[in-house]
Amino acid sequence: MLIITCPNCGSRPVEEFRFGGEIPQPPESITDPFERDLDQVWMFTNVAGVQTERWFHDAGCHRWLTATRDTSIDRFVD
Amino acid sequence: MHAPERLDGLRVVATPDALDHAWFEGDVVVFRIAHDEVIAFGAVVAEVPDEHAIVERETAFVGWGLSYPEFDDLVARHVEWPLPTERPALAQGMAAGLPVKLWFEHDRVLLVVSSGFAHEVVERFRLPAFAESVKKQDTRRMRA
Repeated sequence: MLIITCPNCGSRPVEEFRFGGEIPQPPESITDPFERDLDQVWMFTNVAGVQTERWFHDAGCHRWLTATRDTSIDRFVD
Repeated sequence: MHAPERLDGLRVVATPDALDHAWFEGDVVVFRIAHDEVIAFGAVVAEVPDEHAIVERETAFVGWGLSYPEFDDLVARHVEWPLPTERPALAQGMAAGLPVKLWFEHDRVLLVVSSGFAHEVVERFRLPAFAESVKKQDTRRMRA
């Protein structure tokens, strides 16, 4: 079972959460603020490895949290 | 075991420090559902030392008071996450596919859900439905 540690509620099964997507980091080569915003919202890295994601605790505290997950083995890492 | 009761109170959103020092009038059970939000069941008046605090009346929950044997028999087997050992304590999460809040006191457990899930709780946990008197009142109101 995939477990997410919520800072308000503790360790809970992933079924209690809603996936909010990865938090992309725009490349340094993009310097224009508008272009950076556009890149951050619409361009995804979708790495096979560790990525930072947002999750919403739907069945608990109703708060967003940030977690890092290794997508290659589908496990959360500290 | 008793039929569920509607839980009225106040929902307060404020800074964590302000919630630590908040005061509620009445016979109150305070659920700290997040670091910056509480639901104070039974509260009528709140004093929160935060000028930007949001205080709203909360009427969307119902609760069942269960003894520990009843809780172990009917509810605990549906919970897949670790339950708190200290008392009193709040735990919130999914049980039998429903988002529930569990308030553990020394002699009873209060099972709280949004009122929209009340009928699901009755079916999935086999808990008593609303009291007969409430049903009759509702029927009369619908006919009128």
